[in-house]
Order: sequence, then C-alpha cells, then structure tokens
Amino acid sequence: MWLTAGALALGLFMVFGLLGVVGWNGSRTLWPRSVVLAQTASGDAYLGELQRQDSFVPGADEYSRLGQRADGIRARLAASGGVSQRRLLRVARPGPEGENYNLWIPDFDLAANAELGPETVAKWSESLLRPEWAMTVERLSGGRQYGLLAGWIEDGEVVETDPERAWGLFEARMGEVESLRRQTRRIERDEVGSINDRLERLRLAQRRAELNSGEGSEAVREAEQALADYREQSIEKLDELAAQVRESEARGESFELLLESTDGRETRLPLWGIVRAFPPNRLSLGGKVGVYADRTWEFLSEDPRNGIQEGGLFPAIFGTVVMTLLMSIVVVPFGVLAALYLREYARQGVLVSAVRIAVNNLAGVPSIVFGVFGLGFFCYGLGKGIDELFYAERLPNPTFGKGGLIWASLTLAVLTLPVVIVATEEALSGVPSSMREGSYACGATKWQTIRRIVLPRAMPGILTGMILAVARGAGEVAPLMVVGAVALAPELPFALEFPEFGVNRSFMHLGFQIFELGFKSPDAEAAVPFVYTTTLLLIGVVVLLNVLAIRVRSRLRKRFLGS
Amino acid sequence: MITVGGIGTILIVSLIFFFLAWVIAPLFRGAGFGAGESLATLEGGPPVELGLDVHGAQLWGLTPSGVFEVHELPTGVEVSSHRPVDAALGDPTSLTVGPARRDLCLGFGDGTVVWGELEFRDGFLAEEEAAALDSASVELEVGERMPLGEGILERTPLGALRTTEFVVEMATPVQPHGEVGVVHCDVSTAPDGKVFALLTEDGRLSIGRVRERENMLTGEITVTASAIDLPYEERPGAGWPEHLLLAGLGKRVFLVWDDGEVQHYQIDGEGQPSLVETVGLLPSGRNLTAFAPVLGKNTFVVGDSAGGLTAWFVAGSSELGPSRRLVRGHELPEVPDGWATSIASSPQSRTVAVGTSKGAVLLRQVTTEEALGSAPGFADVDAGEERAIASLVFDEQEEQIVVVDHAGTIGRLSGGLHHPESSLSALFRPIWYEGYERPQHVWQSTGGSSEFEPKLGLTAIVFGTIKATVYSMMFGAPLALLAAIFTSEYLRGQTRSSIKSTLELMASLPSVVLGFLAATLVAPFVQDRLASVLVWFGVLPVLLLTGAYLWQMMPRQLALRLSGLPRLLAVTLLVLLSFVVARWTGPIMERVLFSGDMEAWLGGRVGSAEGGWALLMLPIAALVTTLFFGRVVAPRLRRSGQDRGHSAQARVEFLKFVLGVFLCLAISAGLAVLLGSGLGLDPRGSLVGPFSQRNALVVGFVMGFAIVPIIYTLSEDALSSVPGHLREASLGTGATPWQTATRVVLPIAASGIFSALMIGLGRAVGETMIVLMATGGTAILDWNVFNGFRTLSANIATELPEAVAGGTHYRVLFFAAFLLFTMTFILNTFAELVRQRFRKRAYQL
Repeated sequence: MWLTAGALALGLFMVFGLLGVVGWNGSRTLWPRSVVLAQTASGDAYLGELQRQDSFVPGADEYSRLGQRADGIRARLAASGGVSQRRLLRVARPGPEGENYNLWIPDFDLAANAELGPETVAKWSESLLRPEWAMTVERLSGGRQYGLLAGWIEDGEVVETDPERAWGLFEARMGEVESLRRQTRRIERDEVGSINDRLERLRLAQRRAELNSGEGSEAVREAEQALADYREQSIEKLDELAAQVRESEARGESFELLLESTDGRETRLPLWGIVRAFPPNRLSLGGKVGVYADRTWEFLSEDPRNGIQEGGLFPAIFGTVVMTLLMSIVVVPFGVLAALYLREYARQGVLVSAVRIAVNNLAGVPSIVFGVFGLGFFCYGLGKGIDELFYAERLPNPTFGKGGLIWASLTLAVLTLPVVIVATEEALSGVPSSMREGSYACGATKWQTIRRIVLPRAMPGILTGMILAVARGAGEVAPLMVVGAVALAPELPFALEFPEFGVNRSFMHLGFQIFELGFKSPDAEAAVPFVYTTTLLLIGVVVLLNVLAIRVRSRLRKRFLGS
Repeated sequence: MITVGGIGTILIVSLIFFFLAWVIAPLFRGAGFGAGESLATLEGGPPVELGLDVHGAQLWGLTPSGVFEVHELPTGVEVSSHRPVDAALGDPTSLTVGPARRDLCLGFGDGTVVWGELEFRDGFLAEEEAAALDSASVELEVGERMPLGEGILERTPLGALRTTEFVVEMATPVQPHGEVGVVHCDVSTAPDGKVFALLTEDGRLSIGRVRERENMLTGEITVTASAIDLPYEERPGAGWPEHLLLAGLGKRVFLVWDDGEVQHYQIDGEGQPSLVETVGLLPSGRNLTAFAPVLGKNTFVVGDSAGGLTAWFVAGSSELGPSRRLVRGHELPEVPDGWATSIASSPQSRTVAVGTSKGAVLLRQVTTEEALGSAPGFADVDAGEERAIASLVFDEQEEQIVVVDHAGTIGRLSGGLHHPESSLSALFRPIWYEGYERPQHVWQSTGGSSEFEPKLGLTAIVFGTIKATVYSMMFGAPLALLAAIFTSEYLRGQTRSSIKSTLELMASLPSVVLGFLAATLVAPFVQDRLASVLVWFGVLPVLLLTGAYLWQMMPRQLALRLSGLPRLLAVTLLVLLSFVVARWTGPIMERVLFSGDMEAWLGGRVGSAEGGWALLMLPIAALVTTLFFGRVVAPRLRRSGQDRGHSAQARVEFLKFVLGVFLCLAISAGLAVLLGSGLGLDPRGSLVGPFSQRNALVVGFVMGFAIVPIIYTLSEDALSSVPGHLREASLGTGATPWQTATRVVLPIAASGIFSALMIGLGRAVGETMIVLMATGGTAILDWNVFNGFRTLSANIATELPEAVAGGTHYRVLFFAAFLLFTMTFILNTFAELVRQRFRKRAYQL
C-alpha cells in the first residue's frame, strides 16, 4: 500500500516538479540581470551577465594553462578534494558587431582570490564588481553588447562624456529613433511590399496569358504592356520610398552610444541598431520590472531577432493560433456530423460498432502517421493538383504543392477528428431518450428533435470535445515538422490577397520553435533559457484550454441540471 | 445531409489506411519489362560496348576498331561516327567503358593509353536558326525527330527545338610504360583526378595518375604520368587475363582470367603495392562467360558457363588493410536457360541486366539478390533462331534496355525497374552491403555521391521502436498502476477527483516539452549522477516499505487517526528522502562496485564484471527473496504469531523485512561472484555497454512519464468500476483494504487494466518528439540501456521532409508509417475488444 501511495506521490511530484522547473526558468529569462566585472589573476577583465555556476575538477590541461600558479592552486584546492567552483559569464566581443560568447571563470582564477592566503577562497560576490554604468545593450542583430557607458555622440562627435547626462540624452532620443524605425519597417513591409506584389502579379498574368493563348498573341501583348506601364510608374515611387528610408536611417545612425570595453577600447553603437539599452546595476526594482514588462511585451508582439534566439515570438504565436482556429473550423462540423450519424441515424449493428472501434483507435494512431498522410495526400496530392489546375503559371515553383498552413490545419483536423467524434457521441448518448420521445410525441420531425432538443443538451460535451481537440492540436509538433512548420518564416501566413489569403505559406509554431531552438541551436547556452520561456507560453496556452474545457463542461452541466 | 457528412467523415478515416497502402504498393511491384521489339540491324556486326542518350533517341556502339557509331532509334539510321583518336595508332588492343557509360579508356599496340569522357550534349535552337540549317525543321511536329548535322533535332512537348549531339572528349595520350603493347587498361575518377591501371605485354602492371601542368608563360601543357608498379604474377599456361578492373577510388586492381581465377592487387595506406590474394570465382569445370562492374566499380558480377551469377566485392570498410578480402557477397538467381553472355549495370542502382545465350534478358538486383523479372527477348524474332545477346545497355531512367544480338539486331525493351532496392526481404533481412564485413541490418538512407547505395534495413529501426517501448513501459506501467490502485482504493471524494484531474492534465502536456526537458535537464543529470539514479530505483521501494513497516509499529489508534492526509504527507516525505539517500549512497556504490567511475566501467576501461552483475542481479535477488519469505517464512510467522500482540507482530515483521533486504543483497552479491568470477561472464556488451548521454534510460524515464497519465486514467476507471458491494463483502469478512485490493478488485479489473496497458503501449510505440530529442538517433541493434536508438517515428520525422516525393526512400518512409499505423491499430483494437468484454463482465456483477 505504501508502494502505491509512493507511486502516486512520485507522479504528482514529477508533474509539479516539471511545471515548477518550466515556470521558474521560463519566467526569469526575461528578467534583466546585473552586469558584473570579473577580473582574473592573469589580468584579463570581462564584463557580462552571470548565467549559472557549478563545481568542477580542473584537469591537467587546466593546470598547465595556469603556468607557475598551478602549484599554489593545486594546494589550495586539495582541501576540497580538488573541486573548485566556476561561473558562466555571457560576454561580448568589443565592437558594434561583436558577437556573444560564453566563458567559464573558475573561482581560483579570480584576481581577488589570487591575493588571498592559500587556504581561503573569497566569495564570488566579494570578488566581483558591479560597475554602476555597466550597460546592457540589446542590438537588432548580433545579440547583446556589454560595456561601460562613456559618452554620447551626435553626428560623429562626442558631445557628452558624463554617463549620467549621456544616459539622459539617450533616453530622450531613443523614442524618436524607435518611431522612425517603426515607420521604416512599415514602408518596407507594406508599401514596397505591395508594389512588389503587384509587379509579381502582373508578371504572372503575362505568364498565364502565354500559357492560355500562346506566345505572341493579343492577350500576351496586353499583359506585357500592363507590366511595363506599372514598372515605369512604380520606379519613381520606389525611389521616393527608398530616399525616405535612407533619411530615417541616417538620422538614426547619427546618434551613437559610446561604450568602453574592459580593455579600454571604445565601441560606438548607433541608435539605429539598438533595440533596448539600460544600466542594470543602477536600476531600481521598479526599473527592472519595467524592463521585464517591456521584454515580455516584445516577446509577445514582435518578430524574432538574432537568429530566432531573442526578441519576440509573435509570428509563432500567430501561426499556432491561426492554425488551431482553421483546424477547429474544419474539425468541429465534420466531427459532429459523424457522431450524429453514428448515434442517431445509422442502424446500430456490427458495422457501426466496428466503425466506432475504428474511430476510437484512430485516436491512438501516432501523430506522425497523420503527418505522413498529410504530406502525401494534401501537399503532394491535393496541393499539386490545385497547382496544376489554377497556378500553372507559377510552376515549377509550388504554390499549394508544398507544406503550408492550410495543409497543416487539415492534417491536424484529421488527427483530432476522433477526439471530437468520441466526445460528441458520448454527449449524445447522455441525452435521455425520454426527451427525444417527448419531442416526437409533440409531432416534431427527427431533424427538429435533433436541432432543438438533442444538440443543445449535448452542447457541453461537444464543446469539451472541441476544446480538447484544440488543446491536442496546439501541442502537437511531430506532424507539423513534415507538413510545413518552419523555424523562421519570412511572412505571416495571412494576407489580404484573393484567393489564397496566404494560407499556403509556411508558418512558425510554438512547439516547433521549442524543437528547433532546444535541439538544433548552435549556441545552446543562449537558446535554452529562451526555449523555457517559449515552453512556458505553450504550456500556459494548453493548460488554459484544458482548464477551460473542464469549466465549460461543469458550468453547462449545472445549467442543464438546474433546468 | 447528415448521413452524407457522417459517411464522408468515416471515409476520410479509412482513406488514411488506403492512401498509405497506395503509396507503398509500388515498392513491392517487380520490374516490368515487356517483350522486346527488334528495331534494325547493324551492318558491321555487334559493337563491343553500347550507350544511350537520356531521351532514348540515340544509341552509340563502340566497334572493335575503336570507332563510335551513333544510330538513331528506332530506325537504326547512322547519325554520325567518331574516331576519338588518331587513326595512325591503329586498332585499339584494349577497350574499356565504365559502368555509368561515361568513362572511356583505350590502349594501343604501341603502348599509348588514352582516356576520355562520353556525353550526349543537348542544345536548343531558335526556329530561324534551325530553318537556316535545314528547312525541313519547320515542319517538325511535337515528338518528331530528324538528323541535323552530327546530331538529332527533336521538337519537345513544349514546342522548342532541341539538338542532341554525341561528344567524345579525350585527354592527352600518354605512354606510361614506353612503347610496349597494351594488354588491358582501365580508368577511374578519384577525388583528385583520374587514375589509370595498365597491363602491358612485358608483364608490367601498374596504377598511375597523370598530372597536367600549364606553363603560365607559354601556355604550354606538359603531361606527366607517374605510376606505381604492382608485383604482377604471370600464370604459366593461362595466358593474359581476360579482364582488368580498377576498383573504387583507384587503389585496387582485379585481374580476371577466363577460368574464373582472379588476382587481387592493392596499394595500401603507406603506398606499398602487393598481391593480396588469388581467388577462384567459379566452381571447377566452369568458364567465365560474362564480367561487368556495377555502379561505383566496387562490386563486379560474373556469369559462368553453367548459368551461375555471382557478385563479388572486398569486405570490410573501404580503408585499406591486410584483412580486406574479396568475398562472394551475393549469389544471384541463376540463368534458367543457357548462360549469361553479357551483363550491363544500371546507371542509377545496383541492378544489372543480363543477356543470355538464348537471347533473353534477365534483371537482377545485386544487393538484395532478387530476380526482378525477365523478358524473353525479341517477340518478333522466330524462336527457332535464338540468338545470344552480344551487348546491352540501360537508359538513364531505367526505363529502357537496348540490346544487340550476335547478328547485329538492335532490340529495345521498355518498362521500368520501379523500386529495385526494396522488397520485403530487403527491408527486414540482414543484407550484405558492399564493403561491409558481413550481412547486417543497416539504415543509411542518404549519402554524398550519386554512386551511393541507399541502405534501407527497417529491422534496426523497428527494434529501436520496441526498445523504446519496453524501457518506457518498464518505468511507466508500474508507476501508473500503483498510483491508480492507491487512488481508487484509498482515496475518497474531493482529494481523489482533484488528484485525478491533475494527472490527467499531464496527458495534455505537449510531448515536445517533455522531449526538451529530457534533452536539457534529464540527460545531463543522469550523466552526472548515473550511480545515484540507478541506486534510487532500489532506494525508493526499500524506503517506502521501511516506512510501511514502521507505520505498523505505531499504536493502532494513532495510526487510524493519521491514515488520511498525514499518511500521504509521510509518503511524500519518504519520496523526497529517497532522493537524498540516493544522492548520498550513489557515489559509495560507484566506488565499491565500479571502481569509482561508472562511465569508464561501462566503457570497459576499468573494473571487473562482478560489480555490474551485482547491480543487475538485484531485481532477481529481490524476487527470490520475496518468494522465499512469502512461501516459507510468512506462513510460519503467521502461525507462531497468533498469540503475539499487534505491535510485537509489527516488530517481528519489520525484522523480517530488514533481514530480507540483507538477504537480497547477499544473494545478488553471491550471484555476481558466481557469474563474474565463476563463469567469467561480463554483462558489458549485451545488456549494458558504453554510455552515451542521450540513451534509452533517459527516454524510458521521460516517455514512461508521458504514458503514465493514459494508463493511470484508464486503469483507475477500470478499478473504480468494480462494483462496491464486492469490496464491502471482502472488507466485511475481515480482509484489510490491501488484501481487498489485490485479491478481489485487481482480478476483476484485470482485463480493463490490461487494455489500459495496451493503449499505453500504443502511445509509446508512436511517440515522436521525446525520442527525437532525447536519443542519439543511430540505428543499432542492441539492448544496451545506456545507448541511443532510432525509432520508426523519429526516423520519419527527420527524414521525410528531405525525401524526394515518389522516390524509393519516400515510399519506404511511408511504409514505416504504415507499419506504425498497423501496429498501433492492432494493439488498440485488441485493447478495445478486451475492454468491451470487461465492461460486460463488470456490468453483470
């Protein structure tokens, strides 16, 4: 009996442990960490964010690197069995494009510890400095840069060297640069994008004319003319837009933040390339909360930057939501119809119960099998057919004949179909036959009975099924890997374009993002915390949906019990 | 309308099955080549070698005098003729064309060797250009051809005019052995240039290469040949060898005589030439009738006078060493009637077409040893005048075979090889791939070069699936079942439903999250504290049982009062305590049993076998001890204990348990000494072995965790649907709740629990993301807990996005999906049937 209780306790422990780990790691990723200055005994100094610490046993190569200091350190570590503590620091190479890297710093290598007696090891916290004006600068590309704030530059000239005032100038100018950047992005994405789209459409129209009425025909000449006309018109407009963009860029580049790295070198960071900058060691709690909130908002509403390791996940959130929505639009009517047929219309017999078993079992078929089916049937079957019929002018570039949002949604719809069927059937069988008979007795037809009496009663069950299907669909990744999820999609899978509305595009997905970042990222040390945050978001969504399902069910059940 | 919708939905469901079946069906279709048609007859008799262009419109034949004659098909009209070298050199004494029909090597009586590349070159002409060359081109309809200059002009389906011309590009001739007549020569392409092998009439055999240097000032090209001589051994009385083959990357030469004897020469890693071995290819009394290298030139196929067909290659990896021997890798199905007169390799796969002495064409897959089909020869040639095939060739798409018989008749067979590498036996039987030491189950679907042979052995992957399932069931099933028993038998009301819904919530956790945690959290943790993790599996039950016996010793009143939440809290504390104890005892065990470093021990670097056996035998010892105490000690204790008080009895029981634990340890130690020192067995290499960070233990743990909720929910349902009056009756007769649970409730719910396990099994079989992220992904056949594996699902997920639609690889992956589908479908149907029976029975009670 104690074994059984232990098993249960272990199970619960693991659930909460897992949620706790994800919750803790996920929520602290975006918290601004202080920037520390570590000075090593060999005279190097590093400025960066503290990641984590662990203990290790220095190997022979580690000692040989230390040179003549090795013996002293060996003696000092002998007391603790050769084990030393070390800390992982995330630092950046100097320069505006200097990339991030991770650095383990052993405790014995710290300058403060080297000066102490052989027996004592100073606390890390004592041997670290937290310079007041150490800055964390998040860049558009290349991750973060760290450095001491040394001045403010306008038009290439240093106008301020006092950090306090330089910071004030930065804060005053950042807002303007941000709005310029937003404007530029709008120009590039919307206006230039729409011109290019139009050009592409005209080019395709010409190609279509060629295919339909042969080369050199009247229609082709017309299409060619239209294309040439528009090209002429658009060139001027494009030039104008480009000039606008250049102007904003020049303005954004004219302000620069001057940072001093630990070796005394100066780094000039143009405001145009800065997303966010702050002196973490000076920030009050309120200031930190402010940065945290700002980063969280960016996470939820912006595009990713620096590969997919930083910035926001809005495209992935959007992709997940749109895909799930499309999926439920497809799956619910079909699932309900099938359940209605099985429960209300089909004659109960061997065949129907066999079908029921089959549907039940389909819920247990591995999701990757659905992915394979989706790829073969939807993408390469249906998609290719559609391409040949309607988009012949774009071939050999596939329009629908590849992985895309619509096919992913349909694949997941097939995957979740059994969930909806089973839940709906259960709900239908829960409707007492007395109510049905009552309805018939009043002279209602079968359809009227189902519509007015049975369906409303079964609604909670149907809704539960739908929400469960949505929860399963949102968390499923394996089939998506095959039918169109990508790590970084250039465009959102939605557009106001007739007739495809962008649903044929590849899309980003939270779950797939976890896989890509957590599994394939070259810089795992940097990616993992971000994955935790993504995981937290995904678990949040899925758990929320599940809890919602349970709530809806119990509320509707109560209402019916009351009536 | 509803009926239509309903039936439609059900159709969609069954569509999956039929669609998968439809995609994989072509895999198992044999090659289909119909009876050939004879097209035309060549005036000058049969050529030595043949080649086809990609459009199937032109055929070149290489005559014994070294001239390429290009004919249009199907008419046989000669389009052009090329003599690739100066006519003054005379007729070549050696002619070799590579298996892909690209490389040519010619040797001459004056010691000159020259090689070149053959190609059909396509070009497109504008209407006006073509009309200027030949006015008839204007009237050319789609699909029609006409000769134009040195090539052929054809109107493509899109209406363009395409010319195809045969081109031979020859390198500068060299005389590596001076002015001695060439007997045989061959050329191969190594990564850094062409390599040739040469046998001359003075008995000199060499492998060499040619460097062309251009003088920067004068632009003059100087050609230097450097050669390494091989120690050629003459065979008195046997004359010159019939064939010379320069294998692979040009480090190995085979000389083949008419009586089937082959000499195998190589240049080893240090550049030392040697005669490795002399092998007889054929049973005595038979003669060599056909010889051909297959794609990649590492394997060659020989046909003998009794109709036998065998394929030979050098076994072992492609590295050079003394242990690499020529082996008869494959015995292909024999020629049923007559013998092979000519063999042609496919340019796409390890498939050969064999022309026989009776004029038939047979298709053989070399690697899988399958007979893919046969064509009787030309349908329109009278059976009375059967004529041996002189030469034959595949086209680029493996859709046509063109043959020439001894009378010079050109014949063409059309059809397709479809998917020659796949058949049921090729997918599941061990296959002896080229270069491997022995037949093996190998999965390696993509490789660097076009000559790479895809190795599609599904067995290792199916095995990986089973391994993942077994290990995760070993962890997940007991946990889920025990938890379900506790929930249904000991918990009531609000606690029960909230605990149940918490665990159910776990079922909806996306598996990618679990996979991520397995890879970033569990795997490094297990690597760091391997010993503690292993010890923990033993510590947890021991601690829990200790807790149980100690609880028994409490005064009964107090125990009853605390039996609710406090007891559960105590259990939770014990679980937490087990982590601490394991953390603490793990290193001790590592020091005692595994010389202080478990990873090194697993790698076989330190320690002796006993340590491993002691740990492995522990479960067996525990079983033995439990049986012994249950059957022998417990009844006696019970009899003698009737007059003892409750707490005294509890003390005795506790003593018994402590003794049992020690006995168990002693038994396992004894077994370990017996197995390790007595029998000299070592567990390393079978059940355990070298450690890799992403291993079956991690997957078993995390995937077990993933299947806990489903098994838990279903078996809890089964347990609580056992009618209450049975439970009450049992309790009423004085049985304890535990006795009631194990003796009454469990047997009744057994079939329901069984079906829950089945469904959990089905879930584990198909799980993708956890396996993908937490295993190394290499397909190996071993049960080692500390090693990775590859499962069907993970394999599909990684490879399908890159597979070419419609190709063999693509269809084999569909076949893998089909396997998964059927496996889980059978499991689930079985579980469902059992569950329905259980429901009926529970209802009757």
